[in-house]
Formats: sequence, C-alpha cells, structure tokens
Amino acid sequence: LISPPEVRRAPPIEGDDLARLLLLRKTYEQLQPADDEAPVPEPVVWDSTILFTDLRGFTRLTERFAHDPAGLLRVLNAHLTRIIRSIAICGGVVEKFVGDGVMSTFGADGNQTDHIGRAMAAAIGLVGANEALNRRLAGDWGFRLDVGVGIASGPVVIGAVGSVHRSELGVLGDAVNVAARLVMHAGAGEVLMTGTVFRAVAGMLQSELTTQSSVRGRSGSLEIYRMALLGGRAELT
Amino acid sequence: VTAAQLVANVRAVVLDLASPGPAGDALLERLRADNGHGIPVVVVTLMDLDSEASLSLQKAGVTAVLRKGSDTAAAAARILAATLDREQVAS
Repeated sequence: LISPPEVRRAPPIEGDDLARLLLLRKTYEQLQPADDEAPVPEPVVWDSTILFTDLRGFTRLTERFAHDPAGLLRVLNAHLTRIIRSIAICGGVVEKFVGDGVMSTFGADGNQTDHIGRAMAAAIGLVGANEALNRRLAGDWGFRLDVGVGIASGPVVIGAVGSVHRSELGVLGDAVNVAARLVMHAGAGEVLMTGTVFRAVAGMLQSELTTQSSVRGRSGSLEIYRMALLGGRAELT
Repeated sequence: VTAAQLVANVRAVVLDLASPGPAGDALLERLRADNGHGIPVVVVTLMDLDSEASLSLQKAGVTAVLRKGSDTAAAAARILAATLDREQVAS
C-alpha cells in the first residue's frame, strides 16, 4: 500500500503493535492526516498464507487496447472486482495490486488458524468467478480473461517499510517470494501451491486434480503442486 | 424433482456424489447443457475419483470437487460464495 504524499505515518494509536499496523492500512484507505508524534509500530510475525493472482496474456491484451487504454482499465477492473470480492469473502486481504493481479494475505492478522484452507477456497472461487465473467462478457469482448494463482504459506513479517517520514505496510517473507514466483508459472485456471499448502488441503481436495511438478530457477528443492481447475493439463513453462 | 427443475431454480449446487449412477450423471449432463447459465457446482464425494472422472466433472462445468470430510461444508460454502457474481447474489 502506497501512502499518498499527505499521509506519512500512522496516527497516534493506543494498543498493541498489530492494531497500529492495521491502522497504517486504514490510514491509506481513510486518508487520515498523519501525526508526526505517532510512533512507528513494531513489526509482527505471523504464519500466513500468501495468494497471488495474475492474468495470462495481459501484455497481448494491452496491445489490443493500444488506442483505448481506458477500455483496457475497464476490462481489468471488471476482472479485479471479482478477484477482490472472492478473496474478501474468504477472509483474505488484498495487500496490493501487482500489475494486472493482486497480492493477498490470509491469516496476516493472527486470527485465522485455517488461513490455508481459506486461501484455497478463494483460489477456486476466484477462478470460478472469472469464468462467470468470461461467460458473460467474453463474447462481447472478443477475448477471454485467463487467471492463474500462486499460493505459499509460512512465517511472514508484517511491518512498516520505509522511514518515519514515508512508510507503507509491507508483508515480507519467503512465502511471499515463492507465491509470487509460482503465479508466474500458473497457466489459465491453474493454482500452483507449495507442498506445505497442498498437505494442509489434501484431505479436502480430490488428489487426482492435483499433480506434482517443479519450478526451475530457485535455489534448493521446491515442491510444487498444481491444481488445474478448468480441466487443462498444460506443462509448466 | 428432475435435474432440469433443479437447475432452473437454483443459483448454486452442492452435489453429494455418493456413487456413480444415473441420477448424478443426469444432473451433470443437464448442467453441461446449461453451462451458459454459469451455475456454480461443488461436488463432494467420499469416493476417490480417478483423473478421467475428475476431468469429466470439470468439463461439465463443476467449480470444485471436494473429498467429503469434517470441513467440507465450510469449504463448499466459501467456494460457492466466492464464485457467485454479486449480480447473481443480488438477483
């Protein structure tokens, strides 16, 4: 979350660091004025699940809308509206927009013990919601929107990134990096997840829908499981 | 109640697939035919479906296939809520 210039720091807040951290987020949403006396909240570490989404082929779509960038934004926002809603309904928080997708957290307030299951439900739901959007508008548009999802889980730090003069709420950790990397490899309607995530939801999911794969280019071994929600079986790229 | 009557009056379906058979097949066939309506369907089952069966369900427009367990109801409810369009919920 990027603070606008007039909002530099959290307002004075009584209570624990987490509450103050979350108010950093509200500072952005509510555009409250900054208070120079407010202390910078201490970071907290939680086990959380990180979910990234990404639109496949968005660069080509951008080219298609080269002469109508406002139309491009309308299409993107129609998609993001569904994505944000699906994530919110499952108890996730959209932390920031990353290009044509989102980075979201589940359990980053320390109050969700079932954050992995919630993230998985959101992933399945948002792919379904995006399909509903395609059914409704792809004919008029003349193209489909295909979304991929990456999910990883682990300890992340939630804290103010920056200085006392300019900060934003940041969520950092290996799970964030892994999820961001996974989403780059997720095909249309696919959810790529780590072994930790898969094992947490394996009892719920039909295992035949999930195949084990690997992603190259990361140091060490990384267990990757893929769930193809639209019946596809494309190879990882 | 026939499958056709079912899908004509609902916005979401949780299908408990107890065993392969004509009833479930008929409903899924109807859902496949009505795919344009975009009725989200979550299948829950105690069976271990093979790849072919799972893919067949997906191609019939099934949103998710869940193994029946203690947390299945909450998962199915979340998935369906996350799938439904705001317009579908409001209508």
